[in-house]
Amino acid sequence: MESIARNKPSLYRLTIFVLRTRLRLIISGTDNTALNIGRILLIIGLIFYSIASAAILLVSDDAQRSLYYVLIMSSIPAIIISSGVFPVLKLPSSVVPGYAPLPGKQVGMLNLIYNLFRPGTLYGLIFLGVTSSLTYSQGPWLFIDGLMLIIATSALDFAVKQTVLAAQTHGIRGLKLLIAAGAVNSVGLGLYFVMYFFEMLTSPLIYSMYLLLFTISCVIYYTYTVELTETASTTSIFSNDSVGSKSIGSVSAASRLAYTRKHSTKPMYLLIPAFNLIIGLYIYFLAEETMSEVFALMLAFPLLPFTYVHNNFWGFFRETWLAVRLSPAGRKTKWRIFLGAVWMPLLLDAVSSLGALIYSGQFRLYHVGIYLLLIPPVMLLSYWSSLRFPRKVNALIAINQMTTFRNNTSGISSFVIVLFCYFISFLMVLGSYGIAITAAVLVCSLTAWQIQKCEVNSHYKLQAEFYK
Amino acid sequence: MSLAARNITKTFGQLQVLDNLSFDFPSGCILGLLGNNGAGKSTLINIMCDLIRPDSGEVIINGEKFETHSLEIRSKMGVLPETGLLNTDLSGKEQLEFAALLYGIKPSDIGEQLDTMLNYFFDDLSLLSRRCGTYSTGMRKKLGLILAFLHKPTVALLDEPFSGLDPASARLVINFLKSYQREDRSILISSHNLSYVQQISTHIAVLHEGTFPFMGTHEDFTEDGRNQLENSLFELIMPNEKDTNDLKRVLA
Repeated sequence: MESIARNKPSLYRLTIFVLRTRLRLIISGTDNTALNIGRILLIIGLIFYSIASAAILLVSDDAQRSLYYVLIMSSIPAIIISSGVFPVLKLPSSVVPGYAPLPGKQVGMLNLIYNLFRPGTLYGLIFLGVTSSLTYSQGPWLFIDGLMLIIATSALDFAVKQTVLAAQTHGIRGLKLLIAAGAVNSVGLGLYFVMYFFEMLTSPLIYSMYLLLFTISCVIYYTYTVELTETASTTSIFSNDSVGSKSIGSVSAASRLAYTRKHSTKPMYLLIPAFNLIIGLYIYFLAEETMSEVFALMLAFPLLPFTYVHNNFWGFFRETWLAVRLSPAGRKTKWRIFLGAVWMPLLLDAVSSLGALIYSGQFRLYHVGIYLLLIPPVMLLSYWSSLRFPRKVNALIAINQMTTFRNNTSGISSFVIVLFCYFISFLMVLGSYGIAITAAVLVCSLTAWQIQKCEVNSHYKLQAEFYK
Repeated sequence: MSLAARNITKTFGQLQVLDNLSFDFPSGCILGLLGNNGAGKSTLINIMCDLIRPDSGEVIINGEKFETHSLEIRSKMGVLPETGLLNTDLSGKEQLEFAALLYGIKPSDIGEQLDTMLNYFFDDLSLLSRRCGTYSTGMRKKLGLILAFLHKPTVALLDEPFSGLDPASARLVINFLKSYQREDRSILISSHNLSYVQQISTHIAVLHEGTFPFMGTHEDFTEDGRNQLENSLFELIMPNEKDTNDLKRVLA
């Protein structure tokens, strides 16, 4: 009897399946009801934000419009990057098994859709869908540019994370080239905002063409990165002198587990969306009084709740710090960890202060330019700070990630830090700069303390084994 | 469907895993692939299903070269890999649906077959609605096996199908494979569990230092059953028992 398989599976049906399952992930991606409710609340909060953004665009006059447009559009990369490590995220993976009867290009396409179509991207699409449909009277450019931004940022974000992971676990050839390509693409996207803000180009079509160029570039960067890192992974697994074979089990698998942080953040996923909702309601009530305050507050809270989702960095630096402390070679790299640890509060403060500057009337156009140009290097600095450690440190980072993802310390710490960020924003909006700066220093200190506060858990035994 | 390889060589860095390996495996047989850890069993299976390309040599399935008839061969092949069995984000049901789509199978073609297989392997089918990431090792393995046989492949390559299974589940798997065996189907099983391989295999291949020191019928390997599979294997790959005197001394 012959196999009942047909030679040509339907690519259309496979694509629909991949999109459908990815969509389901953000509604009921886990078996934990509380988590799923949290996600729905997060989406409701996002819809509030989208409606408010559309309202700003509709009522703003021509002089202010480009400022608001840029700030609202920059929410898309913010949503995608800050939602990057949602509990269901896996690093680039193959949804289609290598032995499936599909041509390589179709496998590549399905894998690309699967990897790019993840929670951050979906949030971006929800935001774009609501905002652009409410502002359709102003033309299609917000939708067109927004869609390209979603594709470009998703590809860029994922490729950079994949590079970091592969560098940590397997070592990777052409790392400098990948970092350079990531930097060029990041700056290219950043320049889009700067050019739009200063109205440097002549028509919306040219802005879109420029964006299209960098979107294609980002997707090529992503595809190349995935190919390169998969090769590194395969070589590492089969090579006797690889980092992968020196650590327990498969380091790659351990790292992937580590990125599944659902255990570390369960209670928080209910609280943060609730905050998002409260802020949305607050904005709504303020809108009844005076629109200018709404603008100020909208700009003071540019998606801070989503930064919570980016729990990875807090946890990651903590784990890295553990590894560095235990490795003689790694101790020399302490300063890099500190550098990496302070970047995020600083970035959050920069975002918060922008709104406060506008509200207090001290805002100047160049503030936006500085802010937008600063983001790519700051992001790259943060990634660089986690790269190129000695091999044993890298392997141990992976082990730490595997063993610490169960506890919720980093989840609570990030929650507290995000609360601080809200607090700072409030203070700045109210004009209490002195207290705000003090609080910002406190945030940085708290971060550094959190990273150094290495809990002595059972995984110390594991580390001791490793360094025997 | 016959399975053959010609002059397969594969090296990883300095390590030569497969050295000019050639074999012919007739259809209708269950081949037990034995060998030490790192002998290259998984590498060979990965080459057979085109997951890894050999440095040289070719895989021929039913007279057709993999290189030229890749998709056609793949559609008739069932694979149970040792790792990366399931996508942990998907539920069991989604995993089954995805596998059916990948092989271009209509749901109406497999409804009864799928129900029968699921009921055979699982007592509680409601678990299939949960994400595969929450499954036990045994459950993953059994679901992986159903996925491998969903499209009734004529060649099945199973890498460690018994690892992580409790004895009752292993019995289920053995009986399943026996039921599946037909004249036009070939099954290759890589396993370290000699007792299970003994129960099921019609042929044995021993992979050692990149080559097959033995490949033939189960009867030939065990000298018409006079020898235990374990003893025959050790005669080939570990003819001299290692001295334990030093070990006893240092452990005393």
